[in-house]
Amino acid sequence: MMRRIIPVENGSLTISLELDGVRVQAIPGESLAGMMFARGVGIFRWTSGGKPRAPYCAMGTCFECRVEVRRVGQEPVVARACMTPVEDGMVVNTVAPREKL
Amino acid sequence: MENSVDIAIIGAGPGGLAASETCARFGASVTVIDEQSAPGGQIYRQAPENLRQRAEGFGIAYVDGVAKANAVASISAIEWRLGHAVWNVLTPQRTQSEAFLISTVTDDGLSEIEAKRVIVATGCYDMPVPFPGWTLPGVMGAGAIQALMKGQRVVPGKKIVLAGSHPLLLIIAEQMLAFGERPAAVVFSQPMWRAGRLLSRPGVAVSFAEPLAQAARAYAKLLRAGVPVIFSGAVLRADGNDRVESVTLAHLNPATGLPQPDNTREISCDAVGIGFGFTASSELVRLAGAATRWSRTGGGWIAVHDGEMRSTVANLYVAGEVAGIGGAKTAAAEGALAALSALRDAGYGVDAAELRRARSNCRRNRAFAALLQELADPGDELLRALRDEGTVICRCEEITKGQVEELLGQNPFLGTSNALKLLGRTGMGACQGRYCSRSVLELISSATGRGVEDIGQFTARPPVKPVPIHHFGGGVRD
Amino acid sequence: MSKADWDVAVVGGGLVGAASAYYLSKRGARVLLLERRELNGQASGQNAGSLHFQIEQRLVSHGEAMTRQAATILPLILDAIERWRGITAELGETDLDVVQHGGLMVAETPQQVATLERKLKLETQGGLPTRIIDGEELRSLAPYLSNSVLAATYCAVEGHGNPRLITAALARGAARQGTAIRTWTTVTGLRREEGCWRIETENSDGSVRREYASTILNAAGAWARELAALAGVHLPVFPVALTMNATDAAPPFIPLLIQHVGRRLSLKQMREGNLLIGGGWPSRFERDRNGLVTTRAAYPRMESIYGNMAVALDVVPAVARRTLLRSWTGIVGITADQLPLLGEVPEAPGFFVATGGSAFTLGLTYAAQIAELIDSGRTPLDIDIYGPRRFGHLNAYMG
Repeated sequence: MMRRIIPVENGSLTISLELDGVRVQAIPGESLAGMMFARGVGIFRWTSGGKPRAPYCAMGTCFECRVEVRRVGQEPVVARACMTPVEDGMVVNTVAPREKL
Repeated sequence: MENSVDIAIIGAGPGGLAASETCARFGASVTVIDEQSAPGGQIYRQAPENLRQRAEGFGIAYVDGVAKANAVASISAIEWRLGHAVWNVLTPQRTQSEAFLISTVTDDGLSEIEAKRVIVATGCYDMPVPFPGWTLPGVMGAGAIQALMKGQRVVPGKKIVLAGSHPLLLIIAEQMLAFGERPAAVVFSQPMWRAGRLLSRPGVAVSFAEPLAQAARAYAKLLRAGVPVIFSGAVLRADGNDRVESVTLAHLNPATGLPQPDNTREISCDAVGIGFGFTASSELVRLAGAATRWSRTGGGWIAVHDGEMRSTVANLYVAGEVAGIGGAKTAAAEGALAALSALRDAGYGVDAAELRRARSNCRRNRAFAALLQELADPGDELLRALRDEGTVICRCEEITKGQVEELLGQNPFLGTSNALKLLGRTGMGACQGRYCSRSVLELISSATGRGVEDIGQFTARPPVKPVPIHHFGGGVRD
Repeated sequence: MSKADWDVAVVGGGLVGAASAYYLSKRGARVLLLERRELNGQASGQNAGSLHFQIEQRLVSHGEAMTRQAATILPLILDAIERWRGITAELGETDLDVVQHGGLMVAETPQQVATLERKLKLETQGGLPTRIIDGEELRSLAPYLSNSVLAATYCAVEGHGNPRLITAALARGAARQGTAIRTWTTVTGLRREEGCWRIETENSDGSVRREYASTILNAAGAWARELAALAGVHLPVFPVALTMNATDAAPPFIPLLIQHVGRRLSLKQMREGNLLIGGGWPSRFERDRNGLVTTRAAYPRMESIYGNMAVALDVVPAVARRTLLRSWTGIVGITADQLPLLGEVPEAPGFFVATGGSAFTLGLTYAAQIAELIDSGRTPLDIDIYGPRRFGHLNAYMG
């Protein structure tokens, strides 16, 4: 199981956002991928061929960790979880096989 | 152009940092651009403030490197554009002006930077090696595991298998141990004696005593911790239901170095880090029209330069992995040399002795890099043997080796990477071909017998990283 | 019987060249297809794949005379509609991503609506089934269009072909019928000799060859002028570099071809879900001290990428949710009057040309007409007005 390798104090979880319909707390500056791994999320998206995918490179080159991100007051866009820092009020959805436009 | 900086440096890893420090020392106006939010590149990748504990677990070199990166970051003469992904570079020839035009994208929108000279130090990424199951969640580049630990203090599993041929696997395993994480196994494709044979060459052990001692220490630590370190082995496949649950490990025939199908065993695991080496991020160099050459063991398509880091495009310089995989020290040495060349070309008085020292520093580091490349080389035959008909070659478009071969069979006139991309979609996806270009090259070569330079690479096209289109509604900021 | 090894040597391995080789070999001709680099390597593979049958924006926005002239190609258009409909089956393929679900040419201002109406009149006269729609009907047909769209002309047979696939399929078909295909082979000399054409070629491996063909078909697109010069004739074909863009894949939501009557936009969704966005935004040729270098790839202008995306966002707001994956350049060859260049060059008997105009949409039609002309000396459609004869005055001084 994926998880943190250092203890994290609850007091540092000051960012509040929504992940797949669930309200979650996150650490300022951490990436969506870090937050998702820390919460045990294993699948980040599904391909059009119906296959699950998750980060491969964790450094912004493979684009396997794409998720749908909606920032406050903005339209949803597709973004790399490994390169996108958490933000207050963000709504994040792992991308389903029949992603809705 | 009035608004243009003297020198823009793309990449804030060891190469870019050394270059920026040198430029600032000479009083040149310099802008450093990096996609990450903190300087340091991949090797000195930093965690956000609340997750920085126990950085010493990554070793002294990491702690020193991060400190150095932050020291450079505090130089007030340097302008930082962090969180900026470069998606296009136009040369002065193409902008029909005195300056390069560098286009970037951030989470907030698009911006542009004009620069009279550009140093590209964009580093590298884990060399993609397709094998059955490599697209399963949990299977990733070995460097990805390190990036997650350094940058986010997470690991992708509890039972992690590290496999490949690169000595970096030892270092990653050692770093995992430092955080109380015990790898399930570390698997090298080479026989154990190969390292010994290289080291017994005259002068090698003496010249490279420090990195060799580091690797030996890591190896000893792993053995003490009871981590199985396996030589002459390779992960043949990864299996699992929506996530990797096991890998099949093959013993390699000592004579041929190829897997023995009747000598395999299954290892239960929940994550796999594959480390056969690295691929240079040379797409910006190619986009700018500079020449690259194929280096099988040194990073794929790497920038051609004149020995003083000048690319074949005027006023465009390269440093570090883009010029051939060489590690952090090589990158730093070349970053400094690239800066000196740029400064000299710009008319700054660069001391001949300093230039000489920088050149010889590069040469020394490159000698070690060449040795490391040789040591880490898994050999193409092994990599070819790892993929079967059903193995996905292009992860983005989900195209298998069998499909590529069928296309090549049906279209005997197809002989370049670009043509296969057009007809077969390999390389058309979001990663822009980064993860299939090497396999595509090898498959065309096998099918047609054409040489690597004739088959060529996917033409680098803007945007080299996809840009959210909604930004185009918002205009450009300076 | 002359000493010709080939009845026809087709030069240019794009859509027109491959289709001509296909139709000629189907008629039993001995065909040699020569390509300097790879099949489908230039505009045929790099264009946006529109099957646009309505009179184009670039032709309706330069005054009445040009619009009327543009309307003269409607007979070719009508032929193309049927050819595209049948090509997949004809080639024995299962799916070449040729789609004719219809197309809209949209207008955002009253002036643009007036242009649509003018255009519609000409199309109706020419027999093209087009009609103007707006309001509820337009919204229900194309709910993804922005409210800024006031009206559109709808042509039910428009759509797209897939530039990635069609030329290769035609080449496979031609090869099955006996066409000899030589790629990486540059024509270095053309000379009339004993009633046929002597062709000198050089392969990229350095080997040279000499062959004879009764007829040459110049299907070299943007390079048609250079090839014609080898045969001693002027063909005023100009290279034009255009920018195209592709987005990431989306679930199917745009079945129609979308074009704009007053702004530069073509937009469509391909089989795999990607949107192709173009519309005639310029790229820029590399330059050196001597001026343009048309032998090297051109590169998209930043202004074109920004401009094209902005129009697309205005017309189809959901484009905002996509990412731009790729911008690239296709180099097309056009004549000054933007009409097809189709026929035999009177000053060089046995030297035919097929290029210019909308050579993707009309490519199959060009090929079929020229194949019949070469084979039988006649064509079912009247193509005289597109013939190279109209540039004959340029050839008075060629030797």
